[in-house]
Amino acid sequence: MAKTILFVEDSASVRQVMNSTLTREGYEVILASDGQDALSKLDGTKIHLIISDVNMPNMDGLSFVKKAKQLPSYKFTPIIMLTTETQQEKMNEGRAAGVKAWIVKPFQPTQLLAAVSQLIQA
Amino acid sequence: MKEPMKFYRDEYWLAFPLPVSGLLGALGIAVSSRFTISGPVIAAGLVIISIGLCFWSRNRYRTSVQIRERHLTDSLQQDHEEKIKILQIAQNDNTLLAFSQHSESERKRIIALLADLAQRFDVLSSHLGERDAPQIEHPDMIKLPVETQIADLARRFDALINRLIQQQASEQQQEPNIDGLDSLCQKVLPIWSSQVEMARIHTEESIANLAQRFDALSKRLDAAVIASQNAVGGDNDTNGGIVELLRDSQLELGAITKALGASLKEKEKLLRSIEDLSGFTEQLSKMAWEVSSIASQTNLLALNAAIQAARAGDSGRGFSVVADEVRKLSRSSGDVGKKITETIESVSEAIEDTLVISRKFARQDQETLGNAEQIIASVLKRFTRATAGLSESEELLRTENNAINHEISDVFVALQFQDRVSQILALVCDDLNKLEQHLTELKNEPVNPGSSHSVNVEQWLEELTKTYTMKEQLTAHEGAKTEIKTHQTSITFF
Repeated sequence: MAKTILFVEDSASVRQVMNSTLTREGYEVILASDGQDALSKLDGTKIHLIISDVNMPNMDGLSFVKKAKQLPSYKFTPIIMLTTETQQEKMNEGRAAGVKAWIVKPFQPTQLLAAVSQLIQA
Repeated sequence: MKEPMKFYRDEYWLAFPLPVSGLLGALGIAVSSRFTISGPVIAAGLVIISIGLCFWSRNRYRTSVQIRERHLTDSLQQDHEEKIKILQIAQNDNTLLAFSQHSESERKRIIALLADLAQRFDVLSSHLGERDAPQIEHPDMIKLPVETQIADLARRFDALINRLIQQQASEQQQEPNIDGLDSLCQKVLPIWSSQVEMARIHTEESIANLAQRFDALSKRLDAAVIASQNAVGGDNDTNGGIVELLRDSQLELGAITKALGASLKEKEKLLRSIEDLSGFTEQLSKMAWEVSSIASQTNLLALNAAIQAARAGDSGRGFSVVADEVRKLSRSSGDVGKKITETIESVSEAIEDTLVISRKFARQDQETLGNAEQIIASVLKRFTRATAGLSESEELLRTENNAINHEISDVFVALQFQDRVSQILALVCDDLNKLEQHLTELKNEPVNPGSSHSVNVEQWLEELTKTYTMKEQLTAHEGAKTEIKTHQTSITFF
């Protein structure tokens, strides 16, 4: 059965790229345009991995991660932050919120898929 | 300190012995007139010495008198002080209370004045824009000693003076104003912002569309490769590929040619059987000829029997009847024999015709089978060549597909530049909007006479720095040229 990944990103082009990259690898992808939209999609659906941007309108990625971690169904769901953000303070905040990996854009699809596979199988 | 010299009326009388001694000296001079020194010179010297001695003795006198006078003054002062103390001690309680109340009211008035001064100082600080200046809590201030309050006010006053000096210096350093620049900025900044935003959105939509098209292209290519792979090698399920089809066709066509060969052999057997059958017709012809011969001999025998019966007369009449019947039977047998012969000839002709046709057909079948085998072999050979070419094409297609997928993967990396560009442009838009709002707020604020609106450039740049998310933005902010590296993925696992 295909693993489900929730991808949260405000850039339509990156959403398209990631959707294509993950779908080709056989993952089922749920797309969200910001943190608020992503929270509305955490309705109990089994999600094996969450990939989120940091800087987004309405609700930023770190706020979304903190709220998602408070939901019982997604407390142990691994989370990857995929962002252009390189400030150490933000990374520390993400680590404290329970983020498993921090990937800085631009990313190589193969390396991203390796990280995804590693965290989903962990 | 040296006290001033005082003069006394009887001071010359007290110094009288000295002029006397001077006169004695003059007398001595007169006595010693025998010396070579002239008398007037000695007299003048003695007069000078006498006058000096006179003044010296007068000063000594004055000094001694002043010492006595000081002693008297001190004793009088002491007496006065003792009297004052006695008087102070003698003052009643009402006088002390009144004095105390007066002192207290004076103290409170001074503290009130200090508080009022501090309040006015706060107002002055706020008017000068010293928002960060510490505000004195007046209730606490009352508890502080007056000296502390005055020292604090003095410190704040110094700080305010320094601030005014700095402000003046910074105003002097400010670039000269350009008429109409504020209005231009207010009008042009929203236009720039909307233009940049429009370009950002347009780029985002185009890149998303481009990414979608690349994705569709990649998927269609994958589908084509899979279809080609299935067509050549099969899909590993129920459908075989062209290679398997060729192999099956070879087997099935081989079976058909074998079946045709077997059919030809069966035809040859049939031909041989027909040929054998023609041998039987000769035997049958011979047997028919023998039947005809037997019938002829029987007829001849019956004729002889009739002749003999006729010779026998009436006794042979019955025999004659039998001989006639035998002769009829022999004729019938001869007719049957002829018919058999005729039939056999017809059958022989038919068999011969059949043999000719069969041989012809057998030869044609043989030729057809040979041609079919050659054609099938040729077709299968061509098919084999075509299949090999198709396999090579499919392999090439698969290799090219892998290469194209790799290229598309690189394209996907390159397409991510839009996200970074979008963030940079969004930040520029935000800052343009912020500047426009700031200018509007400044324009709406009242201006004090003699002063003008100002923007804290350093603070603005520092706040702008805090909004950056990428190292490249900071590098560009600092004025250095930077290049975004697109082929390095930074992954940090926690």
